[in-house]
Amino acid sequence: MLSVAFSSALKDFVRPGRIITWFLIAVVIGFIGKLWVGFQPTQSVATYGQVMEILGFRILALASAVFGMQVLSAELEQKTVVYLLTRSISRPVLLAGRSLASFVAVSGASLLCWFAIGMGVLGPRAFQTPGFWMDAIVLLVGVAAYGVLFIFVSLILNKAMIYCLIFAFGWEAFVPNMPGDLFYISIYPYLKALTNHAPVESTKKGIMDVLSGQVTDLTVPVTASWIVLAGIIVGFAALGLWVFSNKEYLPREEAE
Amino acid sequence: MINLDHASRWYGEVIGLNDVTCTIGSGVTALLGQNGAGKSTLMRLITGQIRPTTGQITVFDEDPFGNPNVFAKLGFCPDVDSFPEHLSGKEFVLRMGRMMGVAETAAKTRTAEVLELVGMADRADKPVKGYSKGMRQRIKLAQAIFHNPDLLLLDEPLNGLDPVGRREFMDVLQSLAHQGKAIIVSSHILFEVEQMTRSILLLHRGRLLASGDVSEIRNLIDQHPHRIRIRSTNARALAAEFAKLPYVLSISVEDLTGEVEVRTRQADQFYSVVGDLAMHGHSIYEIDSPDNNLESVYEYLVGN
Repeated sequence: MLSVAFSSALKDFVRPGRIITWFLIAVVIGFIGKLWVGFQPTQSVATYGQVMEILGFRILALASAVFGMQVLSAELEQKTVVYLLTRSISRPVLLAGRSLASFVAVSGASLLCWFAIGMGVLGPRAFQTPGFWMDAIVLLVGVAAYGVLFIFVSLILNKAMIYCLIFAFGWEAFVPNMPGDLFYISIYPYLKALTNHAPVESTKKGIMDVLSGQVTDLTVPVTASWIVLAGIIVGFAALGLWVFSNKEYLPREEAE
Repeated sequence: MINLDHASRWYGEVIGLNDVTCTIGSGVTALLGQNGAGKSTLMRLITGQIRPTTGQITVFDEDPFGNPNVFAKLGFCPDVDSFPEHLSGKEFVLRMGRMMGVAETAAKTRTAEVLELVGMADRADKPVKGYSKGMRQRIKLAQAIFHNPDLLLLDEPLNGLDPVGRREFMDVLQSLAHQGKAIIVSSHILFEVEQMTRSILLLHRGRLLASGDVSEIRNLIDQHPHRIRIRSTNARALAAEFAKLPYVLSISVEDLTGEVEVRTRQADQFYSVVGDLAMHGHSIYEIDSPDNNLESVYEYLVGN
């Protein structure tokens, strides 16, 4: 039944219109990367890292929020959740199948952008660039980490998309630049630690450093990052399965 | 099949269902009540979408909440008019069927069967977003009966159907009922319900006011005497005979139509006397009880 839930959801998530949309986003991002490296041609590898941090990982968070909401929130909004919840498929299996489908969709969108950034900034030599392939692995870890978190939020809160976007584009974008250790309560710094991109050399910090969370020199040890990310993935996945198995879900208007 | 034992359901401070105890078995049962009476809450409890706040509910002897074993034997046609609009009716039914654990090939065959049954076989390849309300109702019914469930719950199923569609829909229900299925139909349109079944569950403001056969319930409503109309060639003579009966409360005669209307609290005894009178020469050619119907029972129990 897991495969049925998975394939059924994947057909919904990966429709031609959506594929075209994410493909166009990737093309635009690749083009931006190509323009970007033109401003600092001597630091192409560092620029690649900067573009990945500013755009690549934001696209990952955006795609996670968009497809994460498709797992349950969209069904509640469209009032079609009643059909799903009266099938002879257990709730944990249903959630697992639909979540996996959303992870596949997010992975597709994120890896498309990663590839476009690599080609735009580095060209074909991206494949030989140190850290390029590692970024793909980190993106996949990010898919799972953002995915389980956002899906969990959608299981417990109405209008979860707003909270997820505020987290991804507000909290996560600026907390790494703030003094103190608030950045521990986020996902991006751990992913950033795993990628270990070289910073762009510059005489003073600018907006790009703010957006890529490089104003302060706070770092997280790589081992700790793996452990925290694994904890987030396992913890929120388990919590999500438990909540979905026990909580009542009614079409949105009726629930309010 | 379905047992409710002092089941109540609260939504915050609002009560949806109040201390309902009843058993529902096979055949067609109508769930009647005005908007807000608790019909949808009861449907949601039976279909395991929500849990009772207090009390217990079992379906096929199991707790229905999120229970795949129960859903394997239960088909639900919800009142919400929502679908994944990008799918065709056929794709939707097939997808729902697959999620009932039916293999791909068998699911395709069964999809064709149920679409034929609900009269959508020739139109099911078009996207749902272009469907009329009646077509949507048929698709909802198709997904509900896909797995040949023993228990079928239909929430306001006749909404949006044209007269021919209603007739066909009722025929499908009757044929399912004759197969021994339990069918629960919620409606607030008494006329429609009356054509489907005489067995009702009447809800009002979350409480179960009455359950059982309409006639039996009518007999229990003692404070409202039965009205019985008898047409005869000699209405006055017949009225004189009725006047001798101690349990007849009032008699009115309409000479023009030859009609006598009697009000009594003991309808069964009265009917036996009418039979005797007919055998002793009174030419009685029509007996009718205008308040022995669902609408009267509903009005007596709920008021206006």
